[in-house]
Amino acid sequence: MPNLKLTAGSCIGAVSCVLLSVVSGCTGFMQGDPAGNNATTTGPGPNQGGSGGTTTVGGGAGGTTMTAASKPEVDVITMRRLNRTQYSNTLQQLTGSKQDFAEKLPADDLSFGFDNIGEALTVQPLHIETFSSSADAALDDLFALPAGDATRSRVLACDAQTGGHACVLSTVLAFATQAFRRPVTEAEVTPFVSIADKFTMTGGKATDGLKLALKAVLLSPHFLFRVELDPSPTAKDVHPLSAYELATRLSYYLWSTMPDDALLASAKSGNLTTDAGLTSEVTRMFNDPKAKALVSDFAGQWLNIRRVTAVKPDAATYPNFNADLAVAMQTESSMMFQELLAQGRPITDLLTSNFTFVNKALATYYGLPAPAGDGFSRVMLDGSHRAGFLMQGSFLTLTSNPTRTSPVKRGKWVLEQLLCSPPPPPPPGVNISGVDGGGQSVRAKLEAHRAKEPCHSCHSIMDPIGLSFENFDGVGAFRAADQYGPIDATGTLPTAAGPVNFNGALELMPILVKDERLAPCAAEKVLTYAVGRGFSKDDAIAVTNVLNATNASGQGLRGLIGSVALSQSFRSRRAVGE
Amino acid sequence: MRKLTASRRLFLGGAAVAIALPFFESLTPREARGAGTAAPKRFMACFMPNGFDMADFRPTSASGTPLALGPMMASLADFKDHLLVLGSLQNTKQDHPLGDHSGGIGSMLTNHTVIYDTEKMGGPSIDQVVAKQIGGTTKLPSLELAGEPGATEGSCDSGYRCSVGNHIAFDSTGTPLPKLYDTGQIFDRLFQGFDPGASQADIARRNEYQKSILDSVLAQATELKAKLNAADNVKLDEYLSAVRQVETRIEVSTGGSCMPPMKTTGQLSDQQRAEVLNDLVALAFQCDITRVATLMWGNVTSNRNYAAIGAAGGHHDISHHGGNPDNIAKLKKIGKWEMDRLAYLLAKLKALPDSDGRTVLDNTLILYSSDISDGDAHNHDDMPVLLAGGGADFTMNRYVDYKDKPHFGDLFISIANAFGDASVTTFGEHGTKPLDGLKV
Repeated sequence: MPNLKLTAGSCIGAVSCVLLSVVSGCTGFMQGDPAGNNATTTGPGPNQGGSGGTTTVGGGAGGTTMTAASKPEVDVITMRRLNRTQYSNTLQQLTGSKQDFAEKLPADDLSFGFDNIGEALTVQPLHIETFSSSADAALDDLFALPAGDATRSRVLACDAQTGGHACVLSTVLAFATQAFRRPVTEAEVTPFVSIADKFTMTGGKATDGLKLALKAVLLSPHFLFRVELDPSPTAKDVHPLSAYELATRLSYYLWSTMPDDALLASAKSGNLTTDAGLTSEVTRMFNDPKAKALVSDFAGQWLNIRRVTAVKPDAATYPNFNADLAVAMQTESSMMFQELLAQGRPITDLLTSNFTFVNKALATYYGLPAPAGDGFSRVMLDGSHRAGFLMQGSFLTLTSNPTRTSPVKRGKWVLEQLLCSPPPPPPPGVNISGVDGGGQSVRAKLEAHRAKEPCHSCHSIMDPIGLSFENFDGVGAFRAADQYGPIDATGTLPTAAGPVNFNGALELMPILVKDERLAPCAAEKVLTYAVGRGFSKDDAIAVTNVLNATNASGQGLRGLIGSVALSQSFRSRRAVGE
Repeated sequence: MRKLTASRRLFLGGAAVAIALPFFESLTPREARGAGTAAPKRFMACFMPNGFDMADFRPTSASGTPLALGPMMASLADFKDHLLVLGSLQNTKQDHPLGDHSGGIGSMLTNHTVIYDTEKMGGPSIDQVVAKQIGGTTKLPSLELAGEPGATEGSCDSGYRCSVGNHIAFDSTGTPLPKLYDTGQIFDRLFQGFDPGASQADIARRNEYQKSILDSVLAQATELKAKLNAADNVKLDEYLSAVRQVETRIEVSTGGSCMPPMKTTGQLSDQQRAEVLNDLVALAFQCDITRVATLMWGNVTSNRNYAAIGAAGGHHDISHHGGNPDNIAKLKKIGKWEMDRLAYLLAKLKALPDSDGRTVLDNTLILYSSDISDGDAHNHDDMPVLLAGGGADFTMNRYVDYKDKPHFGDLFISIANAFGDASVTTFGEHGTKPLDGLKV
């Protein structure tokens, strides 16, 4: 968050309030001309052009072009430990174990909304202890696999009991090559093999000795971290990743797990570091079932879909809501995102798509015709109250309080997650007492609140967006009225072309999809997830380049994800910043 | 879920399978200590989110006089001799411009200001200072517990990283210590490696090879270190430090252990979770598995629904009460419920005989506080602070109200000194001298 250097009471007078709105991202109005024909309405993103320091990508203040020095396209990132999802997936793939090793680890801290940011992935004794016990458990599972099992045959290619030192050495070398995701020298694994040798020579079983050596591999920094090396640790030069480093980045980006044999082969041949080779691997990996990780891990966090099953709406207030519905809502949003990816749909379809996925229970809940069968079916939404992700039960539930809707949370979510313009919290000294007077509709309370300075600058944007969803209650069910009377979902948003009126969320979406911040924001989120550092409005060059490539691809959201993989931000690194 | 008699039963991660044994009474530390032997001191810090209704929190007695408890602490009446309530302390700078919740969380035990957009705090937190002093040869130097799962997506608190809003314990480099939420995981942490069938020779051989493995990866990491840039080396240093600490524990740990109670899995209500967490802390203290624990009952801006006690809604939402009497009534209920859980812990610790013939409560000090004072005003002065137990040589059964609004740092100097570390003469950004008035 740049420029948040406010001091107490800085937003008392009108002048400093304007400043507050500018520096904090609460712009005076929506960005994009609703009467115009902005590229975001038809394509995956606007062609912003240019990659210099002056740009409108990411949104300027008050709809004007802001001149700001962009960060370099390739900036320093912090070495990433495997997060608990990646660790579990990788350990399963290496050993054939089916155990969920993620749930044995403490939760990873989020940073910039994602749990795969190097700076926030710490290593403490608890991690090492858990990695150690998980390695024991996974290796026990490996050695318990039946003879003839594919993983067992691959990893335990010889019998340590009869094969002696040579068998242990070849096994550990092959295992470390997989685990370190690159070629490994004999010298690197010699200390591990020595542990096995010593154990066996002092009367231990050879297979138990081998387990010790394999465990050392699984506790090595080369396994637990995604190590990327620079020609010099102190030079500023930007340089391409090695083929194996790139394979690892790509694999954890698209699959949340280690590279497979084909990807390592592409790295070995050098093919992967060519544009054509990389493009072909991205396409292959995209079509692999493991790419569902993009839905569960990327969209799950960007759109907060992961949390839908964790929120606990109040049972007395919402007797029709239950845990099965929460799971159904999560499935609905995940399937829609998967479909948009698979079909290469524009990013704006996230907000406007006229189809969704429902099972019988969710169809009934939404008042849609129930699909045949027990599973989920793609259904059209024409003529219904809903379109796009923001009118799905998941979004509407996870932005509500347990007993009531929160238009402020809904509006803030849109600004934060879709437009990358998070409003600041109320400045200090703001007296918010009395806002929640009780006995009033949420609209009336917010209007009283919004009338106050310095609340107005942010809430005049947040509130109309949030209030447009008032026809949906705190668990996403449609309602024509609440306890205070018929729902009023009308609103006005200031735009560059003047105020625009709308009635309800369906009418808000055409205004939102024209906002110039939507596509750059999506690019910032994908880059952050892929590269492992926070991308922001300061990364105009990186974002612009990715959006230009996305536009050229004509593949919308899918093109965006592929364009990030092809970008210099993803394929290069540097040891030291400018 | 069926009704529980929680005081006699342990639920661990539970599909409601109760252990029908009075397990504490049935457990004996492996190396039973005879009465009259010096008992270890223990320290615990509890974080409760979103502040309190201070009118109900505050004692009704005047500063310096014997305690007369406010309505929120009614259930603590039996423990007055073990309570010291401190008024008008501040936990971070009051003029902090943004995100007051995280501002009060990262600073709660460190007394350092939380910096925007920064993953690390100034450190260490007081629990870690105490752990270094009294951790001794216990299996775990400290135990970090959570009453809510970690955030899975989204932002935590405007302008702040999640790491400083979802942790109160930080090591000497200011890196947060991960906390455990799942009661089954906590159980494993306490009892992992407990193997009553293993001979001393078996254990020694296992430890020897575990150390060999750690040595081998330490050597590999040291070799790697020279090749990494500065940013990456921050992480590799974390790794090196963590591996060395695990290795050191293997070498020095000779501390107590217990026959573990049965572990079960399943859903827990808030009350069950609070009680299981308190049971585990009491067990870990009595068995001397650890001497230091921290509990974060909620994450930053926790929005837990207390419908079960007639306070339906989101806790954070309600805490911005706006003067609304309904919200204030709910906050009073929530605060009372939280104090009732503390009463449960104190009763548990008081019922546990310690090796010196006193009770575990007599040898424990609990620090109990929040991120902010009043949830609506978001103020950081006049913090709710409660000390419980006899683990420090403070004069209990009193309310002390500090007119000059000292910082938590002063209190932490006194706590560190009370636990035997006289070298602590300053703490964090604002701790400059021991806090007056703790002893009379």
